[in-house]
Amino acid sequence: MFTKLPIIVLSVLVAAVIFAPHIARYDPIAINLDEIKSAPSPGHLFGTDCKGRDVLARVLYGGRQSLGVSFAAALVSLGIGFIAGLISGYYGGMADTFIMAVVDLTLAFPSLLLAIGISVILPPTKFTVMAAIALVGWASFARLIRGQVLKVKEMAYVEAARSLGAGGLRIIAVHILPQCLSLGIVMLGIKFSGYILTEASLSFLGLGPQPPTPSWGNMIGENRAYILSEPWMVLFPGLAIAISAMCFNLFGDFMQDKYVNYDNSDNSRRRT
Amino acid sequence: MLVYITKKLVMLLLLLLGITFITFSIIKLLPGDPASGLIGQHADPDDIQRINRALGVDKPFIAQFLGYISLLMRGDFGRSYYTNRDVLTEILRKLPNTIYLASAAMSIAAIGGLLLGLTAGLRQGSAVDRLCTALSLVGLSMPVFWSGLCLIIIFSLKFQLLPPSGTGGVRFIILPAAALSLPVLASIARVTRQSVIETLSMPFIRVLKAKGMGSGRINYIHLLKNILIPLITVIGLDFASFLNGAVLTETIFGWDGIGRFTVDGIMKRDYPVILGCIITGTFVFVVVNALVDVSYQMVDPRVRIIKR
Repeated sequence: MFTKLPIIVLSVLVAAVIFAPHIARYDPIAINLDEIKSAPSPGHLFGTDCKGRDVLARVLYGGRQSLGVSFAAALVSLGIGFIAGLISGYYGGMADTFIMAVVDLTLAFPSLLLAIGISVILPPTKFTVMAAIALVGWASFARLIRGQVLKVKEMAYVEAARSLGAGGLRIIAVHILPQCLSLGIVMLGIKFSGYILTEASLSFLGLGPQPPTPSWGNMIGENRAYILSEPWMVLFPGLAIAISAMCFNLFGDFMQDKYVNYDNSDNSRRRT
Repeated sequence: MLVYITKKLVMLLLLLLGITFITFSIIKLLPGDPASGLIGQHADPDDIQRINRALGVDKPFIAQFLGYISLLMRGDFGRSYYTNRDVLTEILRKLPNTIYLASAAMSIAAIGGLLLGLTAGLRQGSAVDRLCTALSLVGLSMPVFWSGLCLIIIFSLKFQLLPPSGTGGVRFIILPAAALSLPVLASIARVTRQSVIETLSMPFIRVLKAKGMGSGRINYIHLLKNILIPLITVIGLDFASFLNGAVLTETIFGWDGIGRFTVDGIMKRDYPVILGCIITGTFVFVVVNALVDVSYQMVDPRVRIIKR
């Protein structure tokens, strides 16, 4: 049950978010002063917010921001982590020392503080949050991949390729990279829920997409003042975050149990 | 041992220097200059330039950085651009509040997590185990700011038991500490459960059973000793997540600590405040991590490091 349920829920959620324009019956941005702060009802399943906008529509469209940004950030940090890890592990020497020093530095920061620091430099858009998450997240991928490269590059077949005259780049791309891919992807599955929570935290603090564009985090931040009187404005986007994070957590656990003997005390799944 | 600690200290200093450099670069890359933030963007350009000069913002990057380092060495974090108060004094005034909040949260998380993890791990596969696992999953997945808001709805709005915000005594700290502790409690529970299960499958436990020791004694003396190591790791590392979480929790609960101070600084582009907070936060984090590293060797004789 714990392996199939999250995949089903996630598929439904992702499909709902992708097909948001076909599902939502209301415009997520248009202000409707006639229906301000109405409680959940058959007309507005999740109620409306302080500007009369349908919360369901905003949750669906907000998911495009939240999940999309997390996914993009995950891919970018995986990419940077791979490049840094491959160079560092394969070439060693100065490059290795330098890259690992940067990795250690990055990991020495409390992650949210660093992400906040990065995202205040850039003007607040969805790109900002993506960059901030990716620039914090790449380091643990780089360290993981470097370790794997160090193992793989000593193997006989790499030695053989080298003695046949293959260049460094070719060996990395053709012989070493494939051996690291699955590990990187498993790690991505394990860490993804953390990305969703970080994205939500940053947009909650107002560093992400700006109103009226909805994202799950900024919906909560924007309507915080109404939690005492109209809790549904905050409840539903929060549920969306919690449910998707939970599904990815379960999914990550599944990957971890199945594919890696991963050290449980590792900090890679620390929450914000 | 002495060599190890010295090496660790040197690394620590280098790390702090690097951290200062990165935060400083971040702050210098911020859009907008403090002067126009201070007196408005439409102010006279001459005034802006004058204020920038007074604040020292027009000097070259490296000069500013070196100046900042020498100030830091003297314990001078600068003054807030807005309140003109000494940043270090403000941080030192607010840090105890954050530490108070963090220790309350850690007590809840450590006790709750240990109980939950032990309950689950000792009855692996049972309904209780599955319930505990599910609970810790929920704890891990909820964003801190949202669970905080939910706690306010339930305890301040519905039952009116506790104040929704403010800094103060026990009544004020319960909700923010609970919100802050949730994800950590969950991760402690998971680690405890995992290491209970691992330890119970070890040969020495079988030996103890074979020689007739009761399960109570095995569990509470031999088992507890062995699950201590991963626990210390998690507890130490979770100070990081407390610094992360404090930024959000303190903002929601209006707690007067350095987390909220950071967020306020960001909103107002108050460079000395942001930089001071990030440096203090990261400093605490790095030092705690180093302490955790050293404390392994005291707790676990197996990890005593021989290599130089």
